[in-house]
Amino acid sequence: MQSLSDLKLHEKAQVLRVDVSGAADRQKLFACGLIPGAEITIERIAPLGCPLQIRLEGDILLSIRKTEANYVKVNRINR
Amino acid sequence: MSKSIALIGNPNCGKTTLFNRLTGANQRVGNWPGVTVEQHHGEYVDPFTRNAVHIIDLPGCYSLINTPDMALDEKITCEYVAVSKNIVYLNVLDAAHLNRDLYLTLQLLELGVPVVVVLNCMDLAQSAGISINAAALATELGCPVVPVIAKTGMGIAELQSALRGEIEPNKFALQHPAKILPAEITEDVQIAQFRRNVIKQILQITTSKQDVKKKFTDYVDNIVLHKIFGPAVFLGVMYLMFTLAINIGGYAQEWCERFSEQVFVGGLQSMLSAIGAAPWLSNLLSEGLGRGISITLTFTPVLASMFICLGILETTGYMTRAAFIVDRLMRYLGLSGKAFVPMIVGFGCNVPAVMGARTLNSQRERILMIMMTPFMSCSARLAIYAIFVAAFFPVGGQNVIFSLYLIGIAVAMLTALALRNNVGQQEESMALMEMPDYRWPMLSGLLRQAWTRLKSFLFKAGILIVGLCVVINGVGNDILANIGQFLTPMFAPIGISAQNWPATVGLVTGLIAKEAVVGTLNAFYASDAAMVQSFGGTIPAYAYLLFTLLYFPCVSVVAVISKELNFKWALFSVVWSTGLAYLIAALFYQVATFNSWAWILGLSTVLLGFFIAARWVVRQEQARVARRKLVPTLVTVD
Repeated sequence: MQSLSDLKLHEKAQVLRVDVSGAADRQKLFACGLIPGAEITIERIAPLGCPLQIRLEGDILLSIRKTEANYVKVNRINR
Repeated sequence: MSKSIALIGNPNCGKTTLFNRLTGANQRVGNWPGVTVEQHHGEYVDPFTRNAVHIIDLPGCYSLINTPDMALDEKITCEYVAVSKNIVYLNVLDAAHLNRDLYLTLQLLELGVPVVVVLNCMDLAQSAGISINAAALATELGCPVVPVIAKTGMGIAELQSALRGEIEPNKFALQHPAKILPAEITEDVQIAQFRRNVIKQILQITTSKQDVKKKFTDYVDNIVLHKIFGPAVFLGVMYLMFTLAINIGGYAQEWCERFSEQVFVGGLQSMLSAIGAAPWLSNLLSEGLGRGISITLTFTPVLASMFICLGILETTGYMTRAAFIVDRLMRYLGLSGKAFVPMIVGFGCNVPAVMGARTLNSQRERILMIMMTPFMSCSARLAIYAIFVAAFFPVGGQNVIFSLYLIGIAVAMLTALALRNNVGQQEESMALMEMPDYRWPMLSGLLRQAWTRLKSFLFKAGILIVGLCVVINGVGNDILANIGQFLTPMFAPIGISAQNWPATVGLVTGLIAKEAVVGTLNAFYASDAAMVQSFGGTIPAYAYLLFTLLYFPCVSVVAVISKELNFKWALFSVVWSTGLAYLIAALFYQVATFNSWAWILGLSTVLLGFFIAARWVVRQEQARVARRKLVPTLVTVD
């Protein structure tokens, strides 16, 4: 299974699982629309290689660190 | 009985802007999540019923589930909602991001509390090609829905009229799915998916989206977050901010100084002697009151332009981008990029910056950030630099000031490096940060906000400085002078000579607030020339500036650290900052004047020892705290 952190710039994927452990972090991700089934795109990568700027449905931009993106399992969507 | 209404919504959806619009208050606003970290109360009088309506502005939050790992600002809101069921919730939504914001609305409706939905930022939704049928949305949600633009005031009258009647709690309860879960899906995911599906259905019925061409935010982000241009823009923006503030402000400062000196000191003096006032009274008024006002006016332009520059940074949405750029660096210090934004706010005043630590998720990060914050050079210190630069560094003044800001940042980083391994384990908390769309700052809002900050600073600083001038020049300065002369030998290593004892007095009065340093020096030295002569050159002057930059965070900051963490941390901050200030200023002076190797080596050794001792003290204390309590070290905020 791929992680969000495995994706390359501008790649699109569907979220399969959210394995983040913190309850507050999970709630925040869910509120922003990062739940199983949602589509996400790697929009930008910071100059030092981390964090990632991801785009969620409804034009939500979120900054997430690579180590944390590891806990979001995804399925790459081929275009 | 007056009605109470609580503003609730996701971070950065415009709650405080709406609060200010409704109540006429001037609470701080900005375009980044986490500007408001405490409850604000306000009131407006309904123009028709003449009843007072009480409004509570709550910090933004994503979820109403109170968890121990939650950021403290969100916790405040959660705890408020948990105990306040009989209040009307004004749920503010960012109309351009309904998909996200309705998630909290559903949680509120599930609680069965009375809700009025406000669709804020209708203008932004429109330019994003989103059209919303508010009436249909009201039917779907079962509560009133009012579209507004809080920034311009559109729809506020309609909102007030919607709030006039009795608000019934939502009529339909949301049906949660039965709790038969496949092993793969945890309960919270299932609830989240259920809510997401409800939102999807609601949005399909009530909104339509036209495809608009690439958004402005994308264009700007392409440059601002670019691999190469990004960091360049970041450094450029920071430098530009200081150069603008200092040069524009500095130009006005010269003019202001000449004018205010003539009017409030010289003018007052000749007027008083013309009407035949007693010499002591004339002296008290012109050299005390008049000079105090004159000094305060002198640094006003620099502060005003600084506040405007900070305001632009905060309202455009660039702050979270800057945090994105420096996140990697911040992680090295043991912090998340999120901590960066309140620290920039610290350039205005350290007090809100310390409180901004509430937006962080772990106690460890909060401690680190709060210990770093006092080294962010605040506007009171800028007032000191402004006066010194005018006297000592007529050429290249902005670079002198910029260097002080950089040294402050460097010392803050040093503090984090010293403490990062000693304030508890790295906790599993994500550095998630939402990045808002860019917005053009509104000139009126920008000026109003800068004026509010300036006014409160000038009021506080003015009273203090006038008070000092009256005491020193009018009443008599024997006690302060004695203290200064007594302590001055201690400051010989940082270049304060015996004849320059007023500088020491400045450091003593500066304990209250740093702007007092300026007031004191000006009261003792009749002219800039006298001050320059007494300091004896630019090296001692710069060493003195270094010391004032770093030493003792002012009384207000110590108090707020004590409140946000505890007394021991406040004490640590005082000792740590004052110790570093002395050692660094002395080391600079000794190296710059090259007195002797013994001094330089001695000071370096002491600095190293101080560093190690601080780490040891913190580690001992943390170990003691860990031994004593097994419960997580979470501060509860009421």
